[in-house]
Amino acid sequence: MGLSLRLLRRFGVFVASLLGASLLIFLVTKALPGDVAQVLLGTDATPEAVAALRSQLGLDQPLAVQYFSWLGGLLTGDFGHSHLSGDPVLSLLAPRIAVTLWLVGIGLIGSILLAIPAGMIAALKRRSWAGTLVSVGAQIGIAIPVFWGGILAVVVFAVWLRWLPANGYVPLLTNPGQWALHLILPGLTLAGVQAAVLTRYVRSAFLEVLNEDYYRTARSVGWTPMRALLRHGLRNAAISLVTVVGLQLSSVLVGAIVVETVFSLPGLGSLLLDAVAQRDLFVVQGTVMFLVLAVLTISALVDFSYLLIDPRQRTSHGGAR
Amino acid sequence: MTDANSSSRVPNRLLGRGLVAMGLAVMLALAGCTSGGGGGGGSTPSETPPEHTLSVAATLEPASLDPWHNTAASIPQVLLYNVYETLVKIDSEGAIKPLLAQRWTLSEDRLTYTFILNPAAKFASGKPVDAAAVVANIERMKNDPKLIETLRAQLAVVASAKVVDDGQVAITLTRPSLMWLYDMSSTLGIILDPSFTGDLSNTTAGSGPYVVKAHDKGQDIVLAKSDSYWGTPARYDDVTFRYISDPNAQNAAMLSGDLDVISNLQAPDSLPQFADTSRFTVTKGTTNGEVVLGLNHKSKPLANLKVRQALTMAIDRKALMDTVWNGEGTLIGSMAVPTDPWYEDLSGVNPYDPAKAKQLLAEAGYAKGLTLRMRVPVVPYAVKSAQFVASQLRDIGVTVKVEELDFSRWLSEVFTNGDYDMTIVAHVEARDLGKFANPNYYWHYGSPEFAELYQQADEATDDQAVEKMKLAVRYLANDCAAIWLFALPNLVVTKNTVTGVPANATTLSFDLTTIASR
Repeated sequence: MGLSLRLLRRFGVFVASLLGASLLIFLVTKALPGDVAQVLLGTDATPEAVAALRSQLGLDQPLAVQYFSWLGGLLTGDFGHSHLSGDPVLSLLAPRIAVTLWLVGIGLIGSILLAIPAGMIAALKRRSWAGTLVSVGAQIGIAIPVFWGGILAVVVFAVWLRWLPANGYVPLLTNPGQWALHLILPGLTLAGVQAAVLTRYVRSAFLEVLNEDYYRTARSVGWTPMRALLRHGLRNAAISLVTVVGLQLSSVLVGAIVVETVFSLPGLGSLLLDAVAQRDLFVVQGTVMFLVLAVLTISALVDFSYLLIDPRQRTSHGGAR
Repeated sequence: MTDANSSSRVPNRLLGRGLVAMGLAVMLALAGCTSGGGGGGGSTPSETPPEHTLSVAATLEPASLDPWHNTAASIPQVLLYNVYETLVKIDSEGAIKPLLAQRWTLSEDRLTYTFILNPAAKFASGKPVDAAAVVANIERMKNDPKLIETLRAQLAVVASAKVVDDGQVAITLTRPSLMWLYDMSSTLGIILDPSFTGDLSNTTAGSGPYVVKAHDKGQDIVLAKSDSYWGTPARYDDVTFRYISDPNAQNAAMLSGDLDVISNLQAPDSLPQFADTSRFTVTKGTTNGEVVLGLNHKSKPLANLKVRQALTMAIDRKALMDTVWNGEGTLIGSMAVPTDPWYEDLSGVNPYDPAKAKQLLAEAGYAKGLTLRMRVPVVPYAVKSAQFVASQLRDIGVTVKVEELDFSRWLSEVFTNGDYDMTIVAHVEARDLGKFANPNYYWHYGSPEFAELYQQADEATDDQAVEKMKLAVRYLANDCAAIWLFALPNLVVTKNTVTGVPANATTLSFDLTTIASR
C-alpha cells in the first residue's frame, strides 16, 4: 500500500471517529436528567416558566433537529452559546485550553525528562541498589492516584512548608512569576505520576537494547555502557517510547483534569465539571468534543511520527520485514 | 430561594470531587495535628502588604453579575453593599439601618413610605442618587418581563413611586407590609445608575465603595476601590473573591497563607485546623439558612399531622447537628433564625421521644410501619443528615429510602415536579417563612390558617408585628409543616490581622464595609 493511500485511510478513520464521538456526546448529555432551564430559573421556577424557557432555548425540538443543528454549527466553527452566561462556547474554551495545555505540556515534558534518566539507571544498574530504588520508586508512583499525589504535594509544600501556593492560577501575561509559582505543584504532580509509568517502559526498552548485537559491538570497541546506550540505544528505544508517550498523552489529559480539580485551576476539567453540574449542555458538548479532537489528533500524529523515526516504515512494504 | 451549598445555586460537588475532598480532608486533618508547632507566625510565599488588598474565598462563582435576571445567591454575595447599595440596609444584628436613605417615615395608613435620601450619595459615574433614580429603578423592574420571580413577587405590593423633590421619594403600597421594607434591604432595593445602558451581566453601575475591576471566569472577581465613593472610603485598594468550590481546597489555601478570609467555612469539622490563634481568627455567628427537612404534604401519610409529629419526635435534632455539622449551628424548630426579630427557640416543640413517636404512628394507622422516599441533593449537610434521619426513623418502624440527586436533577424532579416524600435542603433567603403560605411551593403545604396568620402579621403595626409574626412561626412548628433540623452557622475564618468581620450573615451579602486589616 502506498504512503499517500495509508495517510488517506488514516484520515478517514479520524473523521469517522469524530462523527461517532459527536453523536455519542450529544446522546449522553441529552440523557442527563434535569436541564438548564431549571437551573437558570432556580427555586423561582414554576413548571410553566421552565417550559417557556425550554422552548426559548430550543430544548423542546426533536433530538435529530437539535443534533444536526449543533453538528452543522461545529462544521462552521460555531460551538453554540452557553445557556448560563450567554458567552460563545469557543470564547469560554479558549482561556481554559491555555491552562490545560500548560499543564499537559509541563506534565508530559517533565515526565519524559524524569523517566529517561530514571529508566536508564534502572536498566544499567538493575543489579545494584540504585536500580532497585528507581524500580521501587516507580512502582509506588504507579500505585498513587493522581489526586492523592496532588493532595500530598499540597499538604507538604503549601500547608506545612508554605513554599508554594496551595491552589489557584495567575495568567502568564498578568504576572509571569506568580504564573510559574502556581504551576509548579500541579505540573510536578502530573509529571511525577506519569513519569512513574513511563520509567518502566524506558527500563524495559533499554534492557532490550542491552541484549542487541550492536550494543555488544559498541561495548567491545571500548565504549562505556552509558555512551553506547546514548549513541545507539536511545534511537532504538525511541520507537517504543513514542508509542507509549502517545498512549500516555490521553492519560496525561485525563490526569490534568483531575489535577485541575485538586488545585482549583481554571482549565477544561473544571469548566466541564461545572457545566455538567449546571446542565449547560453546549459547553459540555463543546468541551468534550474538543478533548476528543485533541486525543484523536494526537494519536494520528503518533502514527505519522513512526514514519519519521523508523525509516523501515517509509518503504512501500510498511516495514513488514 | 433554597440553596444547596448555602451560598449559591448549583453545588459543584460531583463524585470525582467528593473523592478529592475526602482525601484532602484526611490529609489536612493530619497536617493540622502536626503543623501547630512548626509553622506559627511564619512568612508566606506570596505575602503582599496586607493593608491594601484582601483575598476572600467563596464557594460558588456567579455566571453573571446581573441580580435582576439571575437567581444565584453568589451575585449579591459579592455585589450587595459592596458595589450596589440599597435605600436601607440590615446590620449584623438584623436591624434595619439607613444607607442611601438617611431616614424614612411611614404614613398614618401605613401605606406610604417617604425616604429622605442622603444628599451626598452619588453613583460611581458621578451622577447623584436622587429621587428620580429611585423611581426609575422601580419602574424599570415593573416593566421588565424577564425579571426573576422572587423580585416580581416582592414588587407586587408596590402601587406607585413618586418624586416628592430631588431628595425625597414616596413609595405607596397596595397594603401595609412589614416584609417589604426588609426586602428593600436586598436586591429589590438596589439603586442602579439609571444613566447606565450597558451589559449588566458583565459590568456594574452602582453607588458603593467598590467597583468590579475584573471577572476572570473560572477563577475570581476583583473589586477595586471606588475613588469617588460618597461615604466612608473603602479600606482596601483591591478585594479578590476567589472561587474555590472544594471546601478542603479552601482550607488548604488558607493554611498555606494564600487567603485572608474564608467567607463561610463549608466543612465545620475542619475548624480544628484553624485553632492556631497566632495565625487565625474564627468568627462564629448565625445565617439565614434553615436546614429544612421538607415534607411533601401531597404524600398521603404525610398529610396526617400525627405522622408528621411522629417523624419530628423520632429525630434527635441535637445529636444530628452534633454529628452532621460538628455541633455548630442553632436548633430552631421553625422557620425563623436568631437574627429575626420574631425568633424564639421552638426546638422544644415535639421534643425527641421515640416511644411517643411510635405510639402516634400507631394512632395514625401505621402500627406496622411505613416506607418513605427521601430524595436529597448531593451536598454535605443533606447527605449526612439523610443518613442520620434514616437510621433514627428505622427505630420507630419507618423505612426511609434515601436517594441522592445532583442539584440540577433535584431542582427538576423534587422542587418542580414534587416527586418525593421527604427531602433536605437549606433555605438561605432572609425571612422566608412566607413560602409556607404558597400551596404551589414544593412542600404543597398551603394551610389557610397559616396564610391568614402570616398576612395579619405582615400588615400589622410596628408594635404588634413581632408578636403576630411569632404566632405564625409557632403555628408552623405546632403543625409540623416541616422538620427544622438546624440553622446553618456563619463560620468566617480570617488571618488574625483581619478585623471587623460581621458575626452574623443577615443578608446574602459578604459585607466588606466593616472589615479592616491591622
